[in-house]
Amino acid sequence: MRRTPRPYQAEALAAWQAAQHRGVVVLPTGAGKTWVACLAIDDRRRSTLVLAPTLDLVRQWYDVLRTTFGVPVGVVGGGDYDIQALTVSTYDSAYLHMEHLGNRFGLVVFDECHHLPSAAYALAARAAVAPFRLGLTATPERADGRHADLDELVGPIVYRKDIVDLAGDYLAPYDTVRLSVELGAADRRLHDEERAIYRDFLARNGIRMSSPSGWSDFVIRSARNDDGRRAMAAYRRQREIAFAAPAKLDYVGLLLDRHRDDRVLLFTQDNATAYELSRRFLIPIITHVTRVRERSEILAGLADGRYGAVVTSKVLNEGVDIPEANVAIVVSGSASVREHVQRLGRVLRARAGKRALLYELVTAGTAETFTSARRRDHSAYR
Amino acid sequence: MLTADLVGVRRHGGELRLTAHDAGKVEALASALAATARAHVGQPREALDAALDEQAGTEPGAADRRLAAAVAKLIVDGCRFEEPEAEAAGLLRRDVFLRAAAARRAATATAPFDRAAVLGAVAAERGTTVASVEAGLYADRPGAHRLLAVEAPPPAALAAGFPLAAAQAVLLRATKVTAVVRAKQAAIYRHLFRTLKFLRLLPAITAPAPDAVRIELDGPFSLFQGSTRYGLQLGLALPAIAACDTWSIDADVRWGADRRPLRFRLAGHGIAADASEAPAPVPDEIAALVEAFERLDSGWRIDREPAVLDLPGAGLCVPDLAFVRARDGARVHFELLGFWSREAVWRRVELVQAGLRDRILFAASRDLRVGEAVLDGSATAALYTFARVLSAREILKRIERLAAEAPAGTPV
Repeated sequence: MRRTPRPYQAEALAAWQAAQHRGVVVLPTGAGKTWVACLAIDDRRRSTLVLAPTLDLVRQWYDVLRTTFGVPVGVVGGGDYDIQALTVSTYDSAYLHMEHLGNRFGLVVFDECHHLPSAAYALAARAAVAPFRLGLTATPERADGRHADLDELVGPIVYRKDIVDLAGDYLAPYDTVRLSVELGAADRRLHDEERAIYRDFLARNGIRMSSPSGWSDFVIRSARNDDGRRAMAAYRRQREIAFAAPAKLDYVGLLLDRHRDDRVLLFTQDNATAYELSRRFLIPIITHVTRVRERSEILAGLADGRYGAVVTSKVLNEGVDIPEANVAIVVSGSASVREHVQRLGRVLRARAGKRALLYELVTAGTAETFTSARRRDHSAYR
Repeated sequence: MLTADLVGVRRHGGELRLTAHDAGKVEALASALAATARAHVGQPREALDAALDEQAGTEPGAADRRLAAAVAKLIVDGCRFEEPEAEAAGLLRRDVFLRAAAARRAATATAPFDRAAVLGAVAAERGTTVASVEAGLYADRPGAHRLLAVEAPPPAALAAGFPLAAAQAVLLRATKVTAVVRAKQAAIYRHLFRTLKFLRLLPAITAPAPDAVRIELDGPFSLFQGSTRYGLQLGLALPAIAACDTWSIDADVRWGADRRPLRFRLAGHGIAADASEAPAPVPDEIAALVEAFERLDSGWRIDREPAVLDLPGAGLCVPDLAFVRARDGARVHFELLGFWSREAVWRRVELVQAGLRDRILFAASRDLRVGEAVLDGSATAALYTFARVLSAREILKRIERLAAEAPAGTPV
């Protein structure tokens, strides 16, 4: 523990201490949340379990804890079951083994703790007897409103800094560019026809997609008859056209050429578009089925410059540390503010002389324009 | 295995009941969907999935479509797919993408990135065609796996087993199951108990009548809070329960989006009798122990089919195996309690204290933090705690001690 914390890291630790060592620290990606956890572990000096959502993150935590504390670090998950005073586990493995883990640790660190309020993970948190709890996240808010459960599971938000608070000083300065592309005439006609079928079904059935139950109402009613099934198919088709508009994919080609000397991460909403981009531009793809060794090789290749670009759907939204990446291209995405902030966060880790750039490609005259407006509702995009 | 969303159910008060299906209709669906599957042999999995989805979607009502989707799932479960070597596809991608990255970096306004040239160069280097390179690029993606054979049960058998498959799916949402079973053959009980152990469920077994066995199944977390986390194991246990001559289950389930607590009951007569003929699954730890023990020159042999030990009024104990000494037939049972439940260890201690007379060695992980001394007062039972791996030599020492200490001449 020889490194001096940055001022905001010291403030975060003090706020957590003041809250009886229970609570959530909200810091943007790249701001050093891990170091805040190390400070907390050093402060408490109790057996500690660190929970993270992915094996990539477990590996990163393992390295940091070993280097920082110089003691054996246990791992539970990914085929390992080794419990030490400092242990790292995935949420999934902790859920499976909480009978044996729950009473062994005085401090539990919940990384990316916005995952915690799901039913299964919450059970694991409740089974833990640890009096000291630290949650870490860049984006605590959940669309389902269950972030309120974090109060009970971890503690209240005790400290918060957003991207705009740290950009330029501790995070790379950045620009965001929203590019609007047009559909071709044939795609426009098909898109509008399909959208009309979908909208007509909503209107006839009195479904309001803006209401909290709108989507589930649509799913339930669309399963009842042929009209509904056609409406669901129409909904999917018009989205596909908007997400993977030919003009959009052409634009990706231009951006890859323009940033041929940069390190580019491309994000899509679905795997089909990610595969389409990989096949068309011959760039590596990472999805949920990519094996660990290949995934590591791709990320190392992007870091050392052998690869200039990598495409993914959602699996790199969080938990991947590639300081060299400086350009993000959001080809398509959901309306989730968290997802959009996480994607920006992937290119914000500070490096000397680095200025990050996030492009967002939006198909004009489609529902994607509203989706884009909703996901940009965050201080980082103002 | 079916998933909960594929099962037709209705609520009746606080009870959940399966929707009855005409076996003839299930058989007809199985026949038609299997024919579609057979027509896709040689094609990628995603084409099969799309064809089955489309076919199931043509059923007239939502309930019929769900039934068709369920039957389609059982057909796909019985399909065998090619699994191309991921290594080869991964190496091909690496070659192509590295070459493409270098080409893009070297590209200029007058000599832009040329995709065809990259693929052509890789194809030439590998002595193959561009089409072959393109086809192999993502050949290991699950949706690209080719269907090799349709090995689903015949339609009539699938229809006969459908209610059990639906019940299994309901048990995915179970927090606790109580089963009462009767079987004339000891082998059926043994198969059932071994299956339960293999699934790492915690059976509390009693004998409410001379010819019946009552089994309460849940997992250690259930002590803490009603949880469906053992639902998969409970569902997988059902075929072994249903292999008994007569059986009934009474389950607590959490159903629907609101996870409402409901009761689910089902009974039958040996409807999966062939399950008992399948070899009982053996936990990896036991298989490794048997292998290691048989390498020792111990004078003991291993009996893989030990008796069920019954202590009337107190419960039953189902050893994993028995060690039998060659020179005098002395027998010591062995039960692995593993590393998942302290509760299971205490139950066995209570059974010994209640008067279990058979020589028995229990093995439990040190992670459970139960000392071997808990059974020091017993002449017939002992506890062996292990760190990571069962030691055949340590076990040999302990069974020799038990055979020496226990009343002489009492092979059980």
